[in-house]
Amino acid sequence: MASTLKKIILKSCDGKILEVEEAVAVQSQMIKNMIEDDCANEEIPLPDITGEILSMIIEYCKMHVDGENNSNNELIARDADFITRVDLNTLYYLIVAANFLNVKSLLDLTCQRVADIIKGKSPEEIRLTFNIKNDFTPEEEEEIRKKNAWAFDYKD
Amino acid sequence: MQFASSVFSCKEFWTLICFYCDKPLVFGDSPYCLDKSLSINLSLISTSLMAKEAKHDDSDRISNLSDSILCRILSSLPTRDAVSTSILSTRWQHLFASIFNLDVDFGISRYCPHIVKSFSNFVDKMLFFHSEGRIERFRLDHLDTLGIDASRVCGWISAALWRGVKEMNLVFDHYSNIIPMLPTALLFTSNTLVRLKLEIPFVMAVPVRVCLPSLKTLELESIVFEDDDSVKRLFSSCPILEDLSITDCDLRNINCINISNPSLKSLTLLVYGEQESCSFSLTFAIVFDLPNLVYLKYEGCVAKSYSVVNMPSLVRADIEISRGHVYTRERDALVELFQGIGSVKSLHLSVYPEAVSNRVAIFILQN
Repeated sequence: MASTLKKIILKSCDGKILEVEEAVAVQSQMIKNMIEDDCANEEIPLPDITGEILSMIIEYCKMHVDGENNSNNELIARDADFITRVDLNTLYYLIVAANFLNVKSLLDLTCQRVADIIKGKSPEEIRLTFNIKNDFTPEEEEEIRKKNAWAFDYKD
Repeated sequence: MQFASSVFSCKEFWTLICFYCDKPLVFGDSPYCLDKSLSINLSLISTSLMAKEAKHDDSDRISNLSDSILCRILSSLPTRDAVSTSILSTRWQHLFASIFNLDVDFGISRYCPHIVKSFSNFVDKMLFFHSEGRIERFRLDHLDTLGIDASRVCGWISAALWRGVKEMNLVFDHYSNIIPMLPTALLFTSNTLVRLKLEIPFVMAVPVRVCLPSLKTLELESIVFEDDDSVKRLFSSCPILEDLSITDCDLRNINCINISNPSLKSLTLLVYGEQESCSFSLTFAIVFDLPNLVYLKYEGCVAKSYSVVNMPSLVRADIEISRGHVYTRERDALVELFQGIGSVKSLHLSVYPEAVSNRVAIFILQN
């Protein structure tokens, strides 16, 4: 029982220290590996993750540990509630952090959220949403459209 | 409003509102709607606006994500959407070539030679020259409307299987002239398939050495079952199968459909009789030997008999006898079925009024 209550200490890039129960921390495959290699006894510095993002990730991991006995549908509903509260900027930092910490279910959830935002939008709408700058000449654009006409010329 | 117009143009401001309210951009909405959403959200926006202004730098963060993350995002999209991101910018031009899911639905498209050619070339490249080498999900819906050569489709399915596909979903129109020759020897011996859905009006030849060690979900629709042995062989060769669904399959060649599987938890069986014969009665018997089945959904007509009904773990059964008449033979068969599921905890029964006779009704009530 003692081992399940062990705390892991995480330090964000802006100096915030967070104590996390081991059961929650091991949702991150990276931290799990560190614990297994006996490298998690001191505070773990996370150079690219702010305290705000780290808190959100811990909230997410805790939700999954606490909800282990819940039905699949309940977890899906909680995930949806969690991710729809997140704005685009935060979503970006969550993806980077989930990837770094290797929290697979969060990485899936955040990537799926971006996909859902892209889905059904025209290229111009996607550029506007994400501030993507079109650096193609009209001729290059035409060439790309021709190459995969099935994806561009399709009419519902 | 004054605050807004002094800092932003109307369009910019509306874009911001949409961003903060997580609503789609709609220009030309009625003024009433605009005012209403403004009044509700203005205070929220103005505070978060100031907070965001410092951070907001119009930078394109998503394009800075690594190739592998962007590839994961594109793999979560229908393949058509993933491919059309190639036009966003040079950063995105080639990313779609590394997606690991192929998910295409041609449900309502029209035949168009240049589309067929470009689609076929795309799939050829994806499957035969794929950079990452793995395909996880492979879904082709209503491909037949395009009129692509059946042997070519067969080649794609084989390639996906060679690449260790985990989820395969193939739907072909019922009235299609082009039925792919499925590589059944490869398909029914896949070590990697976890989910398989086949909705194809073809005669399903199950190889003698069928083995699907990873398969958990199997959905069969509109399939023509070949014979008793092949069906029994298929269902009993999936050691971890949990969900089985058989919908509107052609069972004319079958005398007895034997569903025996120790791991199966959920079974959906939609069996309707031959419509030509007007009686809608089934000409085959059914054997259920499913010691761990928890849920049964049975819809359609009464079988010739239910010679074995072994479902000791059944929790819920939804049974709908929706067609056909119940004569002595069907009545006896129904009694066999209900005796077999006697231990079920929750039975939801719906019987077409003309179909049930007093004896069956009384029998059900007694149990």
